[in-house]
Amino acid sequence: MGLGLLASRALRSSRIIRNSTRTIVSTPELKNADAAAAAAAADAPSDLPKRNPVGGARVHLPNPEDVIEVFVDGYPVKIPKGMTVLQACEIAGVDIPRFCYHSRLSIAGNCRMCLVEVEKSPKPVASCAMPALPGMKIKTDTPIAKKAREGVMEFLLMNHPLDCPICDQGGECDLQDQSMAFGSDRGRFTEMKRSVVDKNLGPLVKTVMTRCIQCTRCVRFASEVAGVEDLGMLGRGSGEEIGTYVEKLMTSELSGNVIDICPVGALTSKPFAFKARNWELKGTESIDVTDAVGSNIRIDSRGPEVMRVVPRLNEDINEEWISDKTRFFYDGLKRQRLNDPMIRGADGRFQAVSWRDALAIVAEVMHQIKPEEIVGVAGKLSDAESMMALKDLLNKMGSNNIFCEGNGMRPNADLRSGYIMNTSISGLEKADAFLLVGTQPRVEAAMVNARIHKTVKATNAKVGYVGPAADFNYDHEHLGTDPQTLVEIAKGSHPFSSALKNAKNPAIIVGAGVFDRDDKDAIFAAVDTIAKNNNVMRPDWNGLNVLLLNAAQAAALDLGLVPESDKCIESAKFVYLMGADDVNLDKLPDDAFVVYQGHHGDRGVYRANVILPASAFTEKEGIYENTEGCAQITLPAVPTVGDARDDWKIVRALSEVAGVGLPYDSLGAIRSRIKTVAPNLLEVDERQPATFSTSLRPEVSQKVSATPFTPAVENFYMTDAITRASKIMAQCSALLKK
Amino acid sequence: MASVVRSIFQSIKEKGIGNFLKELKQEGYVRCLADGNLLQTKIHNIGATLVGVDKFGNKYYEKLGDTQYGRHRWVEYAQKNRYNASQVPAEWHGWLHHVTDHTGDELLLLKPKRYGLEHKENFSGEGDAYIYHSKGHTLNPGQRDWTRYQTWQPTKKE
Repeated sequence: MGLGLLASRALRSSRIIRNSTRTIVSTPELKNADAAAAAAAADAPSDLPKRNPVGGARVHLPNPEDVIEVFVDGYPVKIPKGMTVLQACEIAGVDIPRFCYHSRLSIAGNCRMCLVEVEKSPKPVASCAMPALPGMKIKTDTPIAKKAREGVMEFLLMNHPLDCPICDQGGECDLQDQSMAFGSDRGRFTEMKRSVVDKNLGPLVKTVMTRCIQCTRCVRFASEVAGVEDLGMLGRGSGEEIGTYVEKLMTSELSGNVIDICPVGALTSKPFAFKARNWELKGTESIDVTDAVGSNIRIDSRGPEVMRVVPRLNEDINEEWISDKTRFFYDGLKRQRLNDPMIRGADGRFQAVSWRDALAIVAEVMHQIKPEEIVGVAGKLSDAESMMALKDLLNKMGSNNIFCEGNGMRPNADLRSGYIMNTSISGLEKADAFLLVGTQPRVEAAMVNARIHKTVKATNAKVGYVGPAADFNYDHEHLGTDPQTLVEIAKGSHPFSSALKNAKNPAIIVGAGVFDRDDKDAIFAAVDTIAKNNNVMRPDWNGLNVLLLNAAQAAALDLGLVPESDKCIESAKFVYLMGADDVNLDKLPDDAFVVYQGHHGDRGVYRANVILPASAFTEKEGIYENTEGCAQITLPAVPTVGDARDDWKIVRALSEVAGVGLPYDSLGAIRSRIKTVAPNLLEVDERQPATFSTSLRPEVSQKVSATPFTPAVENFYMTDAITRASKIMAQCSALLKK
Repeated sequence: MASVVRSIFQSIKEKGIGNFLKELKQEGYVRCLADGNLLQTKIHNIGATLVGVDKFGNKYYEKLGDTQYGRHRWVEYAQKNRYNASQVPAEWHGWLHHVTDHTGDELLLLKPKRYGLEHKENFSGEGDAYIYHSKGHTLNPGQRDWTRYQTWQPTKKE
């Protein structure tokens, strides 16, 4: 019997004595020392405070056999096999410092900031690159781990300039934050700091390459998510630098995201440079309306100005990326704004008038015109509330000629599955063959394209494309340029038919540009045949999609904005343009009276007789439905400009002046009106799939024409009134459009 | 004192009584009856050497010997009713404040032609026109435009 054992025996016996000598005990079971010791041993792990995963993440264990248990700081955590040590720590609620690791990118393991101590490992290990093994004992808060991170931090700060006070990343910089935890208060480095020549990546991304810590997140983002091999690493050792190999611009529609993923201030926003500090900004969680994807964004504003737009996480729609158009169009909100009601005088000049006069004139003219000659056109940025109000107003006036631009003159609003993306955007990841019909997702909906790119990269899914020659950033087969190709595929005589046939989850995506074609019904019939032949629509998989172009389209069709006659523009005497700039007014009679209600002086105002200034989407609350049928709400971030009012309020006021008052005068009331028409629009942030499938579509006798498909979007950067007013977007289209 | 009285009589004899009184007023001798500072400067001036006169007419005096060191250089301002230190131009400032022994006239030769600005006195407190208003102030005539958006101009026509 060793001395130690003797001593412990003596201690234990004395404890028993002490326990038995105590007379007042609140827990009688403690009197039985052996039982108490056993109970204490069993409860030991549960003594640790309950820990929640970082960021409130939920852990999904798909396969119970593949679950392993590791210990993080003594806390047992169950994780699926194949996770890294860093992920295990996150599930255990321990946030590991990191620079190069990003959950959506491949693992590089080159910053070494995530070092942790693992029991029985001779050295600290880089947790982001180390797979977790069963029973691993990970220690994240030991002196060894702390010392390792402090060492890494000292090396990182060695060549990092001390220009935080003039750096745009200041206040939201990973390096700044982590150096507060692991940085030394003095430096030992006495040599000269390294400096690197700045690269010109184009009009959007500003580079200060001396600040770069070579985490290679941007390089991995460019090749893995954006799908362009523009960025890369040059040199070795201290001569290592990020660059574009040869002097060229970054030609990706997602390039702005490198600003967000850069952990330091090496890549920052060029239009935002030196404009504001991030702690001065007020963030408003809103929705992007520049395309039909409805990316979730945060509008950062200071006072009455939108200072920048950054993405918000939404796994189902945009993950954590947004397109460059979404991120940088915001300067368009400050230019070409309509701020006063205006009336065109006899001399053809506009004159600012009061709301009372403007509405009185519109109401007077509206009453002098035959009801069937009144036409309403909703613009591509209209929210559901205003479209509902406009439709109700025109119906009360006796007209039923109202449509939304981009939907064509004969839209099919009967079957919801016929105009939304039935697979859902995140559902596209399950597809293993794509057929793109007349759509160039890269310019029409960059975030959908990013999903397809992700799927193609992960599963080598086959992509067939029918349409004009277009730019793709993944492997695709160009099957043809006109709808005849579709007929061939439907018959099964086309080589791509076998690829569709063999696919488990084929997805067909039809572009909304088809809506404007005369043979649209025939094209949709051909697509339906392809879908039927290839088992595209099953109870567990609906692969037939329509990719819309504009934020207002889906809601407009849900609300039934369908014109009574497809020649209504030709016979119109009174046209109410609600932000509609791209509707073709060439055939409009010269004596027609045009009212333009909108926020920008764009194409629509030049034909207008009366201008009613409205608020932009950053200034109002409105429901927008995206292309997959998910209704989302924008929130006002900044005040309206000048005398402008919300769209639905203008229509409501006009109805009052015209003597046909609409029965709602609050946002809540107008939403309950929407509920009677399209209840799915009120299920906010929840995708509402279509109930009936397109198989109910009536037979068509129309034949497809041989006219080739045309690109639906000419210029990715300038598609609507706001983006056309933006200087940054003009710069982008001048520099980046090939 | 006797020499002062003698020189007064001499100048009356030279200029005549009318001109003498006019000069007396111009030189601030009338004013100094009410202004103690000016009176003291005038008394101080007796027996001092006039080192120079700048372009504004300020007179710079020096008296070495029995004067307390540090009070041996002073200025008599050209304006007798409102004077302040900002009326001393840059070239004389150094001499007056014992920064240099070169007089202003000597330093004026060194004044750079390209960027040497004309001296301007400070008018602070001399009425609303001279009060500094920041760019955003309502009273600043060139008030900055706080409108953060640009309006569409209806004059443009396709």
